[in-house]
Amino acid sequence: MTTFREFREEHDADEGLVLDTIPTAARDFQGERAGFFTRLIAAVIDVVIVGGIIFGIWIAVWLFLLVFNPLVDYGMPRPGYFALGGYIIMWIYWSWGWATSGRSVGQHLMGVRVVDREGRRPGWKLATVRSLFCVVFQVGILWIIVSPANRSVQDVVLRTSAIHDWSGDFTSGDYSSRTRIPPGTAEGKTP
Amino acid sequence: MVSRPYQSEGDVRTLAADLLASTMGLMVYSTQTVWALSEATARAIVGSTLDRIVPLLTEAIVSRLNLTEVVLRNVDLHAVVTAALDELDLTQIVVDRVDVDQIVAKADIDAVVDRVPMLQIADYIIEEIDLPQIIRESTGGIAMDAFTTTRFSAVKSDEVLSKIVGTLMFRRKDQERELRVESDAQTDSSVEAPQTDEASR
Repeated sequence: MTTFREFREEHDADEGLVLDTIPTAARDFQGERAGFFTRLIAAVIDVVIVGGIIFGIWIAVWLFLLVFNPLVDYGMPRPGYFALGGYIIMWIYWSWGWATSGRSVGQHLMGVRVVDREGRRPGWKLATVRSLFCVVFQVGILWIIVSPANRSVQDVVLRTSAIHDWSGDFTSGDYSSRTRIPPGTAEGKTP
Repeated sequence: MVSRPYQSEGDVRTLAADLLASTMGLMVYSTQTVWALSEATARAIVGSTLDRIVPLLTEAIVSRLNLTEVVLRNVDLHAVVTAALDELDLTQIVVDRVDVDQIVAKADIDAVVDRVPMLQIADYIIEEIDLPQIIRESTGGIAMDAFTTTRFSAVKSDEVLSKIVGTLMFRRKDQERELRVESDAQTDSSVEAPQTDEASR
């Protein structure tokens, strides 16, 4: 058990008071760029969610048309429409998520947050561009595997990062204030 | 024992020696007595005289002096006080003689509390009892637990993957992974800047 004095000295050496809700085992890698699987799972969750949204829209449109034109059978729309709608909604969904909270639902569940080059929440412009880039060039995520800094093609081009952030702080625009471990002092810190 | 009258046993020389000795003894004794008596008398006289004079004299002297100033000027008060404090067990004296409870009762506790780092103490307690864990366990339920597990396994898988890739690409084991984001960008390459020693991960 650490004494209060030790605790206080440690916190004075750090960034000050930090109330940490993150599991102890996960604290060391908070703020680090997330790896491939973490982000892939987050992306898959997002895709499933958007798929659900598309499906929901289709059902809604179908019901709407059924009400007004019950006798006409429109049949299934071509898959291309679904794909196009999916791309557009994915774009909007990711842009909105990253610009407002830095994370989509999938990323929230996986504890990932998108930040700009300064470690802050990306603005609307950056979020929109990155989102479009991700939608158009999905295989960019594969670059994480090769990149020693866990960066996708989108990250490399736009200088963004997707970092581990398990805190429940959904609205914070500034991750940097929550960095617990200052550079160079990672050793000697008991988890 | 029966005393008997002095009988001259010897001649005149012996008699004279005896007489001389007893005379000497008598003289010594009387001298001592007189000396002691006069000493006592003198002491009594001097004592009573001094008893009368000294207070008057001292009073007269002290009234003409600023004693405080004299002491302040000529006495090393620091040394005196230090010596006195060294002699005393001050803590014990305070413990014995001071009613600490009464002092505490009169103390301005608010001022003390204002100086106490309450938030840090609260944070410390939360940290020590691991309140977040308690909350997680009591409210999180299965879904949250599952996601925490998923997060951890994803992180583990990422580590394994990066190890495999590192081996395949002949990366040095001690190479910096550059996983942290520089919080304040000083240069254009700040995002690339190595920040941690997470190479072993």
